[in-house]
Amino acid sequence: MHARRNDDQRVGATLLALFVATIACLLVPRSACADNAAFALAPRDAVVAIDARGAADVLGIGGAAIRPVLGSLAGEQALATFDSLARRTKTPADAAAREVFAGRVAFYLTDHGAGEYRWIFGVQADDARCERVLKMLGGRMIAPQRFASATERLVFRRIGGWLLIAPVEGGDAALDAAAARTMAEDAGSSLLGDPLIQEFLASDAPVRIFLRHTAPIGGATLIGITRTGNALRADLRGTYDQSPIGAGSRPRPLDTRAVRALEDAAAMVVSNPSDGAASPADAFWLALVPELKLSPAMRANMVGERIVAFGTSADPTRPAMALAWRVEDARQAEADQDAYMHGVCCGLLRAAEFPSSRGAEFAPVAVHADRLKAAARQVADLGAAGKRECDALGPFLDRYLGSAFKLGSCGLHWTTVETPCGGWQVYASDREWLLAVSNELKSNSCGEEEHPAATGIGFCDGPRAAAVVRKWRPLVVEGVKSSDRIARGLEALATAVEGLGRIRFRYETPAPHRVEAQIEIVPKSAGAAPAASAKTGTAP
Amino acid sequence: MNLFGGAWSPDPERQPSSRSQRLLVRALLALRSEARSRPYSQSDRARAEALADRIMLELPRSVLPIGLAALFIVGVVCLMPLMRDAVAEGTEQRAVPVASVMEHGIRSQGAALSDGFEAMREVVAPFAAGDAPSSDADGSSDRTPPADATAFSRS
Repeated sequence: MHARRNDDQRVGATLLALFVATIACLLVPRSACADNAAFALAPRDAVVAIDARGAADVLGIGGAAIRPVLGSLAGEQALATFDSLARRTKTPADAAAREVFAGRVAFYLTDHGAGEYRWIFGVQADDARCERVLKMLGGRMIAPQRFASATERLVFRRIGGWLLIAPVEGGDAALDAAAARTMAEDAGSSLLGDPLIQEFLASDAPVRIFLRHTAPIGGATLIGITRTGNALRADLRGTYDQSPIGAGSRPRPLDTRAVRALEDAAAMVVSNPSDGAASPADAFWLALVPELKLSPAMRANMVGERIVAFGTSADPTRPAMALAWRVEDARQAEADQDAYMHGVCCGLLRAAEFPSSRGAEFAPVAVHADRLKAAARQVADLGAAGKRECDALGPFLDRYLGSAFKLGSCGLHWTTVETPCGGWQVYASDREWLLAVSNELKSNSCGEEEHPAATGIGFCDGPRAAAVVRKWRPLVVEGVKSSDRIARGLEALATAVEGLGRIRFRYETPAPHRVEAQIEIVPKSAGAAPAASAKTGTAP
Repeated sequence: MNLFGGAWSPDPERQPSSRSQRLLVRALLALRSEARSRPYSQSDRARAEALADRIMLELPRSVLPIGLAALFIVGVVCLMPLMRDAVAEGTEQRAVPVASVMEHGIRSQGAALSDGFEAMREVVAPFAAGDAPSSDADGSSDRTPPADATAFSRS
């Protein structure tokens, strides 16, 4: 439990760090010169460290995005404080934020165990600007180069061109230690000496973020953020004891055009290399429905590219899901698919109806009795009528995942679409979503664009994803008190994702314990820029 | 005839309310009596009484509601900046210190987001099949243990 709380707070700290970095990134120029003084501020065991470099005179575009980002990540409470600080300086809120975050800022967080974290925020600026920041935060001089703000519970120290800010509790000692580190740039006591950050020290990204992870993931993630037009681009390099995205797979060329084509309709899309071979994670489902295993002939027809797309369902209480495999020979794939799905539907039906040795509690859900009968009729007609749908999936998922997943209304629909360069086998939980995805893939998957080799590419449309999560609310059971925490968590997640806007990503795993990714964030306020990824080179 | 040369409206609904009229008369009577009782010079008292009489005589009672409304508007307009400052001060007092905001961001908000991530991870976990394609083109790397699968489902 304690470890779980620590993890929570670490995630919170990480998000806060990302928030600080996002704001800083909105305000810094790309031509910022590089040095590592900010990382010298952080102690060797810092779990989060941020260095955002820039010029104080850059008060440019994107400033209006500060409040929405602050609200979505730090909550309404932070907005009230933010606005009160702005009133104190009699300036608009965004101008006040720029006053703090323009120029160079640094932030670090240390974990003192038992859920106790210490942080220091540093502003590098001249005396005049430091004076304005102090005025904004209500700082009063208590000794030469030392200040305190009783109202904001902060202490300050001016040292070597930095104004360091820390909370009152334990702040003085932390400021003294940070001041000593930054003056000496001591690799022995500061983060500069950590092996995990070494490759980052040469980076000239305007914003650099260091995140250390606890076991079992271990290691650290290094994020360099730059600005490209209205979008933020994050280059991520992670070295871990255990990769957070699982075993690495071999990168292969993935079609960015096919993924981009779904951006107008889908909430989230991920494309991965896949040749249909089952993985150890499939063992549970294969044990229940062995028919799910693809035949060698089907796999031989697969090109090695799979797309998973989530969208809005006709049933607002759950998302629509689609899975598509690229195939070489569409006609052969269609025949294979029909035979395959006939077996799968039989298997799902059997598994959903199969009596449980654990008694009535695990018996087929009574509410699905009619659907199971209908599904049985559908299975019987599959070959003759040429229909490509069966209703067995919903009852099957309800039985083996539980009704809290709220996937009981899922259907199973499939089709094969032919394209000039082959085709796609498509499976979906809704007929409409099947048609939408199939149509996009049919007309947008044979372009001449470059196919970058990657382990995965995709995107997430924040507002759409947030809407899906808010309506679906998986694992939330009405009337059960323990669900409140889940509900609050999902709402916080939806709000954060919604505020971030559109996110495009591409990742690969060059080594078993290594992840490299490029993430492009088009903030909600900046509006969608469909062509931006092509211009910036981020896939998709 | 009123102060602006107009006539009283014959429509009772368009005439000023009797309550407003009474209010004005009371106010003016009070002013006149106040002027009489003060130890001013005889001439001053006479001038004050004359002025009060003049006002009572000439001020059209129909102007009273408009005048009161105008006074109210002027008052509101003049007081608005003060009220705005007062509201702003009140909000500022309610705002949470920056240090607490940081702590809230690290703990509460982060914990809620973490719960959200955890919930979504629980949802995705059953479907999180590995993406790893086989390393051999001939499919020899099929890692599914079919024997286990059949043993589970058929036994």
